[in-house]
Amino acid sequence: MINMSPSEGSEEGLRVRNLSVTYRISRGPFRRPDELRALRDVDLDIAPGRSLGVVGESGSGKSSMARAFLRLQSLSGGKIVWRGHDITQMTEEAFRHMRPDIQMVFQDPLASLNPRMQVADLIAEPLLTHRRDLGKVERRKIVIETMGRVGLRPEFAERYPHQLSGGQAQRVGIARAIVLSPKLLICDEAVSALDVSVQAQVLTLLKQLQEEMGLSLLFISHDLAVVRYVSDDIIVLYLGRLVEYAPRDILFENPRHPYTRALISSVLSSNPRIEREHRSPPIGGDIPSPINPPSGCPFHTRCPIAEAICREKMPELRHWPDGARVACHVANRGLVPPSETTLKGMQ
Amino acid sequence: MKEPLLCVDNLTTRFTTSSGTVLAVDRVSFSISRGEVLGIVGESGSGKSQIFMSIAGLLPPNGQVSGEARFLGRNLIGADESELNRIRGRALAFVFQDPMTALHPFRTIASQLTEMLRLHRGLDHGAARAEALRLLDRVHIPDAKRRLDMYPHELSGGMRQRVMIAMSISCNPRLLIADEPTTALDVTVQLQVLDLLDELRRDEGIAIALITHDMGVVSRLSDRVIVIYAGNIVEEGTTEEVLLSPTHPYTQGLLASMPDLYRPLSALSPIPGYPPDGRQARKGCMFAPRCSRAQNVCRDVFPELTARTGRQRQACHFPISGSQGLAS
Ligand SMILES: Nc1ncnc2c1ncn2[C@@H]1O[C@H](COP(=O)(O)OP(=O)(O)OP(=O)(O)O)[C@@H](O)[C@H]1O
Ligand SMILES: Nc1ncnc2c1ncn2[C@@H]1O[C@H](COP(=O)(O)OP(=O)(O)O)[C@@H](O)[C@H]1O
Ligand code: SF4
Ligand code: SF4
Ligand SMILES: [Mg+2]
Ligand SMILES: [Mg+2]
Repeated sequence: MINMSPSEGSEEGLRVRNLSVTYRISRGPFRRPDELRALRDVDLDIAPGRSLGVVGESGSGKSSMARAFLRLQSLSGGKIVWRGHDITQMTEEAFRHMRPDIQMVFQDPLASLNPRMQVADLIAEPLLTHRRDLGKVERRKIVIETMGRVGLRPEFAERYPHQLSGGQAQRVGIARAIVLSPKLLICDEAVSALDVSVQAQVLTLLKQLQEEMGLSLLFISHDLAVVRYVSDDIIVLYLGRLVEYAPRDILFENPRHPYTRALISSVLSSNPRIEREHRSPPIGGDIPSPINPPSGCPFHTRCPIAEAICREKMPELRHWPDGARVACHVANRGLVPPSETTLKGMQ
Repeated sequence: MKEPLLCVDNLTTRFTTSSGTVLAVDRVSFSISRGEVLGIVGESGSGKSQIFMSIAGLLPPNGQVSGEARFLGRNLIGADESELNRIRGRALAFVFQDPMTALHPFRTIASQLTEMLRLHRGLDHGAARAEALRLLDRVHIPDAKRRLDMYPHELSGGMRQRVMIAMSISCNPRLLIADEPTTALDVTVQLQVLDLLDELRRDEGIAIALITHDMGVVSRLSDRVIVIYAGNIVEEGTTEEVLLSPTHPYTQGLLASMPDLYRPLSALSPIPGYPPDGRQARKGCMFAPRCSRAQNVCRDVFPELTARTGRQRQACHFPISGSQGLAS
């Protein structure tokens, strides 16, 4: 759970403050490169054993975040603190030591596996790098055990990636990620490429592993129904900004940010009666270019309740009593500090 | 009785490959009426796209088709190339998942649209440009005049898909084959594009074959649905029938594997195993290895698509009856 005040400075889990990632986009030899701010001042926490879902449309900065956590992407600001240590300030050597703690499952299961390696060797590879103390026999034992965990029968050990279905390949990807017994598993669109029936198998597996191994999970997806199924808490990104954070049920029952509302009401249901009775699109337009994002609130160009202030001033992320955090001028008016109410009442 | 717009009978498509013959479409029969939206759902590799590639005569050289597909009264299977060319892009039009591959990257939207209009409708330059502008307005592209002179990469994904739709309706098609038209789009934009397709059907009476793996998309737009598994139609009915009271175990399994925001949060029930490979020998019901209701007869006897009650049809020896369907 994100619990800012008491857990501030805690040595547990992941604590991210002001995470910012900026890309430089070349515009040709004689022009100054454009700046694309893929993430701006994002704060988040993941406590041990919790899962945090990250949603947002394409280009909102989700993958940039995942890469930053693995140091595959340098920051333009902010810090990423894992169990008390800022990984952005670590030496290579120190980072290598804690690297087994944080593992990632990639989107494209086949593309992320070396085509010339057999399944057992693919799963053993992280052990060879990070667990040099293990002998061949022990390694083999761990590999077979891990295969069992992800539901791959032993006869798959000698197969090559092209002999696997998408779901089987993704199980190999998960096996590689959990073989070192990580504490934090990052899944970036890890089930998006899978068919519905196989996606359900992998989702069920991830949830079960999370419970069995006490993993923290950062689960990134553009699919809200999938995120709802996996996550305890959820953050919503828009154009690199965190616009809303809330525990799962609060987010879906009482979304406060207009973008979160639009996202939720754009999700289609397999119940045609719901589709018939309800709604035209909640918002029009497309996501603006992140190279030239709108002034003030990044959502104002599409927001149905935008006001004059929204074009000028970026709304602050404010905390609600139920644990939600919202960055919206209008929604946050519902959040009147009790002292102010009393003062007004007395006048 | 008036003949349906498209009437497919016993369509079968095979591909010859070095590792054996792939049966991609197996004895498929269905029809689409004027102005109707038919959803074609199934998982990857089930044969959804190849059904329509076969009908439109767009198979690669290693593909062979048999059966019949009568469109506007003519059988398209085995029709000669010049006749198919007259129909494709006019009465029969396509919209694909990825507009970037269908649009020329280095030519403006105007040049691509007007070329098509001059070629297919014989308009002169001025008329073609005016018509291109009207079409962009028709698909609700804001600021259409300015967009005409842009290149595809200067447009957002949603905008490019609107341009594709504008192109595909430029010659007044009777049937639009939309193959995963919103799969690459963000959810807020997907809803806008689905509503545009619905508007075209309503206002211009265009029938749509909506190919998708997404039950939500089908649920929003289609009148009727066919469910495909391993090249066979396993269930057919109105959208309400199929999605609210599925009778085939595969349809029910698909619905139960899908997380749905509008259902209470509960455990998913995945279908065990994986879909079969297209090269696999065919005997009995192709779903039997994954089906919890399977009996011996299922492994031996091919279940024909039949209607037991009403018009909902299923290819199953032991269909699920109404009360056993989806509870929620
Ligand atoms: N040129 C080809 N040669 C051999 N097999 C092919 C060829 N084209 C398609 N197939 C096979 O035909 C079957 C049906 O393919 P099809 O493209 O119709 O699937 P689909 O249902 O549209 O899947 P998706 O949802 O992934 O688009 C698959 O098993 C596929 O591998
Ligand atoms: N290597 C890169 N160079 C330049 N721009 C990038 C790079 N990677 C991502 N971006 C841009 O940063 C923004 C956020 O991207 P990304 O993190 O991939 O978003 P998401 O995963 O949410 O779709 C997008 O506008 C994207 O185009
Ligand atoms: S700050 Fe203004 S524009 Fe932004 S979401 Fe809130 S109301 Fe809409
Ligand atoms: S025919 Fe038998 S195996 Fe096939 S779906 Fe029906 S019950 Fe299951
Ligand atoms: Mg991404
Ligand atoms: Mg297809």
